[in-house]
Amino acid sequence: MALIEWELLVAADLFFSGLGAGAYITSAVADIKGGKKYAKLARFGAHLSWPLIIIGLGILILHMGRPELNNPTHLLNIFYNLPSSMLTIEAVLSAATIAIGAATSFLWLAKWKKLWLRTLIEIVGIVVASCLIASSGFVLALSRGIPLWESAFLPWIFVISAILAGLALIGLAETHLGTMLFPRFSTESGSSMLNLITKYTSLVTAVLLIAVASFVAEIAIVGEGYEGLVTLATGSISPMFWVSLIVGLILPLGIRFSIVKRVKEPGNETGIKVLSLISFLCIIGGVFALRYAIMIAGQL
Amino acid sequence: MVKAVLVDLRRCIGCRGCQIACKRWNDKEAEITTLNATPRTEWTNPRDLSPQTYTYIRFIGEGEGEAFKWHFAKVQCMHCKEPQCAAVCPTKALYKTVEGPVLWDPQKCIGCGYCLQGCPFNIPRFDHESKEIEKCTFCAERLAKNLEPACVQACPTDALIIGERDEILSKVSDAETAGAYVYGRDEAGGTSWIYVSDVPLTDLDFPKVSTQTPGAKTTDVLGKFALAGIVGGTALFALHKYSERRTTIEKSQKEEG
Repeated sequence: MALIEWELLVAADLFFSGLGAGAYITSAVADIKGGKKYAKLARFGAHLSWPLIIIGLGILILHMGRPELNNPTHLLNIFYNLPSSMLTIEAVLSAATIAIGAATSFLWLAKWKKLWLRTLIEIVGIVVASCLIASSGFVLALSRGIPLWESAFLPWIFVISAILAGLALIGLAETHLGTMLFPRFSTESGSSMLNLITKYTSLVTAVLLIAVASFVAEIAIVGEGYEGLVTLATGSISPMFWVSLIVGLILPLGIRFSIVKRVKEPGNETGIKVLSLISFLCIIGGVFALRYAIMIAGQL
Repeated sequence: MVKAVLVDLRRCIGCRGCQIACKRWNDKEAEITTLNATPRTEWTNPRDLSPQTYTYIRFIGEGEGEAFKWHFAKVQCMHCKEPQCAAVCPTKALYKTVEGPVLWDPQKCIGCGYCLQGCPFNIPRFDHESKEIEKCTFCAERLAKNLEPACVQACPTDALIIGERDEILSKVSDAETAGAYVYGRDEAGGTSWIYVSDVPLTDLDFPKVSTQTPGAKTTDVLGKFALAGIVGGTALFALHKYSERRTTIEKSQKEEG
């Protein structure tokens, strides 16, 4: 009998912590590699990252069945089982990423002149945030009660999808929506920055599609989670899965081809911005839908 | 002093005495249930474990006409030697006692439900009303008083026998030599409730569980994860270098041309 105990709230927690950590990683890489050229985007990513992870943790607390027990510090029990429980590891890494993200934000806001300090924090942050997004996948992959999740490719799907969603989120700053909502973070470099971001999102999307295909192949070959795989592809949750692949991953790849064509012709800036906006929103929604579908299909 | 129970399904007559004894000892309420709609298991009642039902007998019909035969299979927590539910629990609310039972500490639990996802036998249930994890306790409080678990005591056919784990394993080996199928001795690294049956337990809807302990499983998945990363990373790096080289060649050709 199907017992779905981990539903929307857990999926939302994993999504927001992945989105925040992904945004941190992409912005930190942009800052380290690109310097002043990407400074605004890097700043945007740093400011977004840790509040998103806090939102994720808040949602997780809502899911908890007994957070109010005994006293307000009861939830701190989550830190008890190191290194055995992946949930404890994820909680520690979330706390560390929040602290590092907040420190990076502070350095940006304070316009700290010692660049090496920010770079050092960002390097540590990239490592910790990468471990965080992998740990979210390992929470499922090492649970053992759900054969569909027992794949070494599932943590990779979480890692790659988090980076993809983080990249798309930062890319939003360059679109009309971003310019309207966060005018301070747009580089105003026109379509060239969008062209670059969509180039990277399409590359990461392709890698994610390969990871999803490897996940499906492993489950189909090993066989233990085959029933769950059939549920994922044909069961009640399958529309979500297919929409995540087609609208969330394949459509943005198609949009990328359209952007490449338009970049070569002058006067297409608005079109590129609109297409990029659609692409980024599809990616962020698709990443959530993909994670949700895999999580639910395993429990059905 | 590690206790184990031998569940000899060849002796079980499906009287459900163990179900009733469990409910009475644990003071669990009766639930309004309906017969199962699935023809093969239609007389299984209740159909599954619940916060009010720590154990039940699965009725499985096999064959037709003269060849028809019932199989009865008691289902409850397996009390693994290295319980995965305890391994994944972030608060150590679930723990294994020296005597064998896997127990739950309400003072530590935060209700994350990870134990429900972690159990390879799909045993723990979360009671959304009382906000408690519910599952068989191996009657730990009875064991402490040298009493048999309630279900073992109630079984009229000695299908349930409690003893020292080594003693039970020896009986299991004898049964296996005589052609019986065994379940629980090796699954999930070994459990405290070990079944012998005249049919494979997977035919009685028991999950196929690997023999790896939680630690071995973690090492296995981590190893595969790293391998996939190395292979994928190398492939991407090679692709990047190839594309870089192509761009350089195209550029130099343009310059020459």
